[in-house]
Amino acid sequence: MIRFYHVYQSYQKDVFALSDISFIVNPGEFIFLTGPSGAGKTTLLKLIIREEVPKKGQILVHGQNVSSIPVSKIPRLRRSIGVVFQDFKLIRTKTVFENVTFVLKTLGVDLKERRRRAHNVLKMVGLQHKTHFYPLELSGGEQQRVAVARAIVNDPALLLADEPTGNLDPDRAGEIMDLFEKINRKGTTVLVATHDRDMIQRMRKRVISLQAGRLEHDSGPQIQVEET
Amino acid sequence: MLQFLYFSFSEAITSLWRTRILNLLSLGTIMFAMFILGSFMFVGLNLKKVTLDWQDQIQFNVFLKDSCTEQMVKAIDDHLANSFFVDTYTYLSKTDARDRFQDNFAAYKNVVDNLDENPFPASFQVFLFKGTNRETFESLREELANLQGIEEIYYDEEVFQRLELFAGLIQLSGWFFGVIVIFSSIFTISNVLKLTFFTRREEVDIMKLVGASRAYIRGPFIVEGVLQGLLGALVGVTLVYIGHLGLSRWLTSNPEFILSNVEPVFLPFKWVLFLVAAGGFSGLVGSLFSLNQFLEEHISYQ
Repeated sequence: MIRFYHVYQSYQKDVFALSDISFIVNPGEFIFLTGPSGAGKTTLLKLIIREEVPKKGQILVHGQNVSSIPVSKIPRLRRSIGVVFQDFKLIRTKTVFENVTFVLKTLGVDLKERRRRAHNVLKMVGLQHKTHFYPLELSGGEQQRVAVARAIVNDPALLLADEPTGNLDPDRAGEIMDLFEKINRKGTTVLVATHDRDMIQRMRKRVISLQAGRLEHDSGPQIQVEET
Repeated sequence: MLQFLYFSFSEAITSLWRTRILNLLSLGTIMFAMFILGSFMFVGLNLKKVTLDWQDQIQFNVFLKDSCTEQMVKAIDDHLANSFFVDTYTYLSKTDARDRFQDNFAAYKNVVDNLDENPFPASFQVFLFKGTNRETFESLREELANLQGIEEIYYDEEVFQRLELFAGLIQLSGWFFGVIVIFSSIFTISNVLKLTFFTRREEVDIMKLVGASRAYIRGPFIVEGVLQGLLGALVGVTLVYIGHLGLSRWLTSNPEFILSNVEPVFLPFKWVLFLVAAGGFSGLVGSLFSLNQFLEEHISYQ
């Protein structure tokens, strides 16, 4: 599903945001990516969706080398990955329904089907009664759930979430995690970046820890990453 | 393709409505541009029509010498009556000519009364059949010139030539000002779209992140520009049409006006189409200009 081979990323000369990162994520896994602020969690997620290009190394997602993927194929890559952003990234001028179904609309999915899918995912996140609300009319937790609904509406094989519970109270955070687990049980690979240690301990999933841009620990099966 | 057009149109219409105040600016500019261009075309077209109408039926005056005898007048009358090209003609005696002057210019009545002699010459006012060409007129003039008792054959050709030139100049000025205002419209649309983009750059970033392709991001902006142009031009042309109706009504209710018998014609359909298309084209160029100059770096996936 995801393969990192000796990946380096830097924004200034000789100062690395990520340094020699290698790991493999298999289809259907649920993984926590953890580490303190500035450890490189968000950078790693940005590399997966090709928001950034690594300085060195190779990244394979769905078998495609995203470091060298043609620019024209980036939208398709992103549509195959559901992303829940830390700051939700909802379009303020669009309703909940429009936000959730925007990608489907660009794919030419007809209105009836968009309504059906939006209803299903919004029901899953408990917001089926707020389809016509605008993001600013919702609480932080509700906005986060809309972001989750948008990320899963296209049935992605891979779901990335960047601190999805950072703005939520423990109850709401638990709900979101339950939702991710539910999605994962349906076969979607889930990669959640968080520094919430309590949650990580409670969920008992594979954990990849980053520290100052380096892979500090991977609780999953140790896989020998071949030299490229 | 249909799906892309549907998406672009629906997004553009939503955006036009949401930022309607801002969009009124570019819509107003295009409307003004097309109104100016359309008005010049309308005035030029109608002036040309007036000159053509006038030229279509050649009219001239045959002024007689004071020494012209009755036999001479009869010879001229017979010549005109027997000509194949003369539609109608009227004889105006010296007395009739003086009376008409006094009727038309009552303020100068006494001046004429105080003169010892009647200075107004007798004349024939001649109308040729519609469609009679200049060569025929020239040959008739030569024939008349050979008759005795004629002082001058007066055909006010210069007036027509001046009017025709004036109509041409009006149309040329229309193009000149039209091109200037079209460029200003392109500039305005381009800047309004940049402002629209500023208010929506976060939205564009999100669209990129969730996988909207470049075409799907650019499409609505381009359609928005084209729609602004088309709508503005439609309103501009409608205003010209309202002006045309107003002018027709005014001419009907002011019969004393020299051109009151003229029925103004509206722009031909293909000209209207041209104006609307020009509006749409201005919008297209304006949006492409702003996209290429400014948005490209934001939409780029590089």
